[in-house]
Amino acid sequence: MKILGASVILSWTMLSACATSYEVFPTTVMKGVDRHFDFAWWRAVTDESETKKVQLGGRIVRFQASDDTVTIVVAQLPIVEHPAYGPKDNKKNNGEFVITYQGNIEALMLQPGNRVMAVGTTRPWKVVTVDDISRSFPIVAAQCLHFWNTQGRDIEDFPYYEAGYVALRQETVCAKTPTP
Amino acid sequence: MRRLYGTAYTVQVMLVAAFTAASIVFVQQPTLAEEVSTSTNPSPAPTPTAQQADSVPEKQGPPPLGPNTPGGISLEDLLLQKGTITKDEWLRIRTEQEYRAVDETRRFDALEDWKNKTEVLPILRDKINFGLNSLQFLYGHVNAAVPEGRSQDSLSIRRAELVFWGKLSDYIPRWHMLMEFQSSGLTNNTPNIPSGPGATGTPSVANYFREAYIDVRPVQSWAPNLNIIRMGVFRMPFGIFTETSGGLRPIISSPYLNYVGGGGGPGQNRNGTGGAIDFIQERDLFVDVRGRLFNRLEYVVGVMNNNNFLANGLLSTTSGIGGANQPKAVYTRIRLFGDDVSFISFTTIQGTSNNAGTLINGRGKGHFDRYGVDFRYYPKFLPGFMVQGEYWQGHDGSNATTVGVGANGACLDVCGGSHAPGVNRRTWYVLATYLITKGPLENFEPVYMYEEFDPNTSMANDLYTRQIIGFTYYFENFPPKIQSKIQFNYEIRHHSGLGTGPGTPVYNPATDPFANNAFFLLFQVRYM
Repeated sequence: MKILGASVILSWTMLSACATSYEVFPTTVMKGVDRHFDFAWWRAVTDESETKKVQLGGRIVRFQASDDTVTIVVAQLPIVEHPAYGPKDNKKNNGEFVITYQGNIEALMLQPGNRVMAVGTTRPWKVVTVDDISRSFPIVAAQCLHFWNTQGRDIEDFPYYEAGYVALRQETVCAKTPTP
Repeated sequence: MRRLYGTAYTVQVMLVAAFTAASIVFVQQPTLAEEVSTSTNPSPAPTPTAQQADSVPEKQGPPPLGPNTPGGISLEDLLLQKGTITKDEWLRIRTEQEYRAVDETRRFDALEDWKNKTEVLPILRDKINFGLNSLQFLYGHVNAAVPEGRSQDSLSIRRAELVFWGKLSDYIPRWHMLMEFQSSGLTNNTPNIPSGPGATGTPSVANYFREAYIDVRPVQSWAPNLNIIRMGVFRMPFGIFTETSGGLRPIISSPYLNYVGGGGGPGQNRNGTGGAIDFIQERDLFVDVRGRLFNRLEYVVGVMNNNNFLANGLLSTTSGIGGANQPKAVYTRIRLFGDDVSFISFTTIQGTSNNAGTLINGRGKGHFDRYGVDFRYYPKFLPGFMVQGEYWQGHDGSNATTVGVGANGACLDVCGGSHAPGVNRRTWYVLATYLITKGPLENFEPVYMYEEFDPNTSMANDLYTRQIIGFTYYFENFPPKIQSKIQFNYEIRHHSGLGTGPGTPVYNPATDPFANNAFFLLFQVRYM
């Protein structure tokens, strides 16, 4: 009886896990995203006026939240599927860009070092001031963002984190109105 | 005459100044234009044309080192040509420029050399890191009667843990060690001598070495489905509390499922209900495989030594190598996530245990199993609130003993130990916390926990119960890396007794710390 009960529970567990496939963003958000977007080329062509819908990932460098707008300076990282899905530190300086988002985001998710992925529209270079530091960046006006609270570590380091088990907090936010 | 000379000199100086100013304006103006254009629309630097090259005038002296005009001649050369400065002045200017250039080069080389040496340091390449896992100062008060010379109040360092870790490569993504520096004493071994001389263990094993493991990721593309193979000694994947670092726990005391009971000897354990019981050991030597399927289902499958982390300090009498070999136990856990942090898990451990040489309290000889269900829930509709619980049951073999008390066998032949029959045990708890993030009570976190431990499910009058009411105040709370806090817990404890029936030992609750209330105050720092 014990074995039968355990088998039923195990089967339900496996079926529940199989029922949903892993998606960071809703399918509707991913429609129209340029899957072959070249970040390095986009960063080099500074007067590019054509806008594109892209998905980019990186590590949060610094942020500023004012009113209903959040501005995040991100060090670009490639998005990989192994060993864990998401932006992964490839130990190279890939360049930085800025994400602008219309809405509120929990401060814990905006901490420097966290991983972030954005789906949004590219904008031309602009001088952006974050934390009293003004620099010129290429801009992505985000429609949706996904955060991993890694605190500088890689996503693959979780959940078996140093001295114990720590589940990796994640959050997805989407803007109600697109950023101009 | 003097006036004429003075006037002529003044005019000369004015002409030189005007000429110099005009020269500077003509030199700087194109550069300014380039800077303006750079800020709005960056373009490649202008390439010198053939016309510009042809327009370079003949120079006197060595090639210019200073800032060049568009014609390729330095300012001091131009002034020398115009007779504005003397040859000596031109030489002095050139010498100063060369000295500055050499000095800058030397300083740059020194910085470059320092950078090259520093950036290969292991600590800057994530090969070696260290951190303060937990430093805890504890004040405790237990209402139980205490022996002469002792006090109901205690001051202690609860934990003083340093942790070391690093990543060597993608295929060896982590090595890890943890040392507990407040535990510098020795734990007794448990002789396999049932009675007579030598039946009591001697201090043998240092217990400040707590954790050390190596992770291997054999094939990158298999991760996260087959994420890592972990081998070493570490917190076991048994439930929630067992696997939670001591620096991140919401309560001060360890749960009863890890440790309960104490005092007395095997005589108190005649029914399998008394003495110290480590129902689920926190750490052990093991090898296991861990992974994640479909981003929702985590699994662990492994085999362990089933004799606590202390076994690493004892040599096996048969093989002569470390590990205090015990009959191995296999374990597996499946954890299903509802969202990123809420889950439910199922765990089982199967094997046999042996009381001879055991370093885990309450282990006898015979079949050994554990079955556990645990859950943790963070409701999205109530941010800051968390509830978790665990339920465990399992069988321990007969003739259970405590660490340091000799035992051998199940009491069918040689004996020692408690002479108690094999027992089924059961324990469970529910815990809830609520972190206040706004208002005058910001960073306060009230906590409540209720737990029970039944050391022998077939016997009445032996139940342990405990309620913990308390709060935590966070000075810094950025888990899992940073957590500095002060915690207060009041524990309402109750212990029914040592069972019923003939031969039940006499029970005095006044001296049982698990039958008397207690309160604790703990201050912790953690930084990694």
